[in-house]
Amino acid sequence: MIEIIDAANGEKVIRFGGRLLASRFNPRQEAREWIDRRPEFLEKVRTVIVLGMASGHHVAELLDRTDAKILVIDTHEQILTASQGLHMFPASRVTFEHVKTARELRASMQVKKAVLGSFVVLMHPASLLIDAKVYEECRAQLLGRDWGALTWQWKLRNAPGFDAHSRIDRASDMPLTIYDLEQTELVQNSEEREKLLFKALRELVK
Amino acid sequence: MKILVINLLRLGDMVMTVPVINGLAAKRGDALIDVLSFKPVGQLHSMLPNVRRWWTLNRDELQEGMNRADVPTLASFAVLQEQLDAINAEKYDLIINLTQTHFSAWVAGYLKAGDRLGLTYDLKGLPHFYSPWFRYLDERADGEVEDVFHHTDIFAHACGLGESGRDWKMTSTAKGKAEVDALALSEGEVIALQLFTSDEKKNWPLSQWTDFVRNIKRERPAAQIVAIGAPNESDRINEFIANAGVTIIPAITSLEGAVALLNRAQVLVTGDTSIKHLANSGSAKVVELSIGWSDSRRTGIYKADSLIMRAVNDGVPSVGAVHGATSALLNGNWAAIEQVAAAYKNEVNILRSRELSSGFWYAQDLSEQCNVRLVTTLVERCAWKITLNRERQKQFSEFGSEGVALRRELRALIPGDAELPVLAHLDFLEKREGDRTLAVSSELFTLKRERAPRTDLLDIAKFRKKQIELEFAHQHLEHKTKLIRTLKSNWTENV
Repeated sequence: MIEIIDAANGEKVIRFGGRLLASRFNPRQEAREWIDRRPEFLEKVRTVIVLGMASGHHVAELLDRTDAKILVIDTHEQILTASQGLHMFPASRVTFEHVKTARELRASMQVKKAVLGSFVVLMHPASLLIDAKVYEECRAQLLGRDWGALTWQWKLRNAPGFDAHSRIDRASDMPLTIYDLEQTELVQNSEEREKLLFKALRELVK
Repeated sequence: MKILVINLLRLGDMVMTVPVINGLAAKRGDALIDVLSFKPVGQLHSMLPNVRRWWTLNRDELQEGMNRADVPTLASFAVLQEQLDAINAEKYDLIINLTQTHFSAWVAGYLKAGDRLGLTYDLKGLPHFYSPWFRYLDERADGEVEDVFHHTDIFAHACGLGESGRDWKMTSTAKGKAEVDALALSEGEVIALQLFTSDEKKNWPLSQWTDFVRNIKRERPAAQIVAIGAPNESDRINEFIANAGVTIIPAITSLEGAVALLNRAQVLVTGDTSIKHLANSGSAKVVELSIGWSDSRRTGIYKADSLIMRAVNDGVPSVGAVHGATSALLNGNWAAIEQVAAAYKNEVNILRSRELSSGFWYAQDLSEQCNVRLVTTLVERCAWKITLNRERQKQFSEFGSEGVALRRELRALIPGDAELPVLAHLDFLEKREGDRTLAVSSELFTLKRERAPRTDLLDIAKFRKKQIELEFAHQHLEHKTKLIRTLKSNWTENV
């Protein structure tokens, strides 16, 4: 099921289930362009969570572009193993987690630790094609753009509650924004220090 | 003592606080001064050796994080929190917020400090200024107010640096000097131009610039004209140069290069830009073209003996006026500048910047023959100074010494044959302020007779705010009246 083939530039690329997981010509260049499209916060966050290990060139490129720790999530253990064999990732910077469902993602100690601090999520497109449903669920959980996912993240931080009442009746197809957070009890009525930060951020998008 | 200076606005606003940073360093030998600004402003660090550490927030990134659905909802929050927690770990003794914005006030509220100055929101969302100078800045933010202090003066006075001179020194770096060397300027006269501002409405039209450089070049053929600009202005500058019909050297430099160039040039002609503020540290004389919503009263060129030109009827200064004033300034001929001011007085106000020994900046209208406005303004500002300093410092301000200083200042600014109307005007002011004091007393009396609201918190706050405003106004008017009387007495003795 897994094959290792040579790209035109001499680098190794994984083919999984007949599908190439990186460019057959220049996978490193492809990885560079992928990161160029999403550079926000790479220099600021503590963790970059990468959904999809694929051939690992994008992880190698990320190592050069950020000082943050990199947590790679993949739904296939064989891909994780094969790709690690192609690169020498420093254990102090890059860690891996194999999950089969979003539930397993929520239970992962590594994920919980990452979510406690600042992080961004990068979705590797070729991996998404292999296991679209699970990756989308994992991404939604990590982006926290719905109340359920956001509440999970917020509780992990041991922070004061946003709201005494749940928001399950809110239109679920609309992603949460700072405008929603501004309306919470935390920001409207409390005297918690976090309130000051939400108030400050709200000023930036007025 | 660890001090954090917050300035979360643009580059020019940060440059206007340089005298505060240098002043704090000079006044407090043990001060370790750090700055918190937005990211682009951090470029100034290499030129401000009195700043130990420069923290930056990436405004664009924080905004992007909140606007994009593919970024975690809490990413901007978490990044901001971690950055501010790192700043808190420094345990600052004093935090000075020199930005009067909601964002900076919330940030200042989150940061911990032993002492504070400047607008800060508390956990209830209530504002605190920690100095009447900042409250003054807040209350007089409206563009319609009659007279205001320059922002740099407000910051300096609020930080207890009002009476010392303003030190604008910024270090010329090796990088900046190398950029100027690369321009290969010869020994002669250098006239620097800053063609573009951050807003089209504040720009002098390019057709006017073209006529101006042609006139200058005709009059001073040996002068080297240099167009300063940032890399993102490069195309527009080159296009202007191509159409100008005279030789102009493009100077696409970093900020360090601009500072070095302003030490090499004899004059800078500019709109309302950060380069204008940088010129306060250089040797170049400055002609500021104040156009559109530029507010030269609050943020004009500070350096003494600079010129500010503002069209009378919301237009733009004419080429003739700018050329005449620039040329006379280059020649150091103030009589000629006054002639230009008189000749063009129906279309443009030409103001001469002065640093007064009373501890503030003043832009004197050179076309005004009558000194009534000058007297009114100086009395007003000295009275404000007494009122604002008294509240915080709880010191008894000497009206006598202030009156003597004011008389000295006025005599230096007003020619001998124009003295008599001054006394008459002081009589008028005394009467007017006396009437105003009575009116405010009456209003205050009426307010106190009304029962303060007891239940609605908003009404209580409004009532209290009104009461404080009236008490403050009353105090100010009393100080002003006393100052006028002292000045009158001094003035008469001298005559």
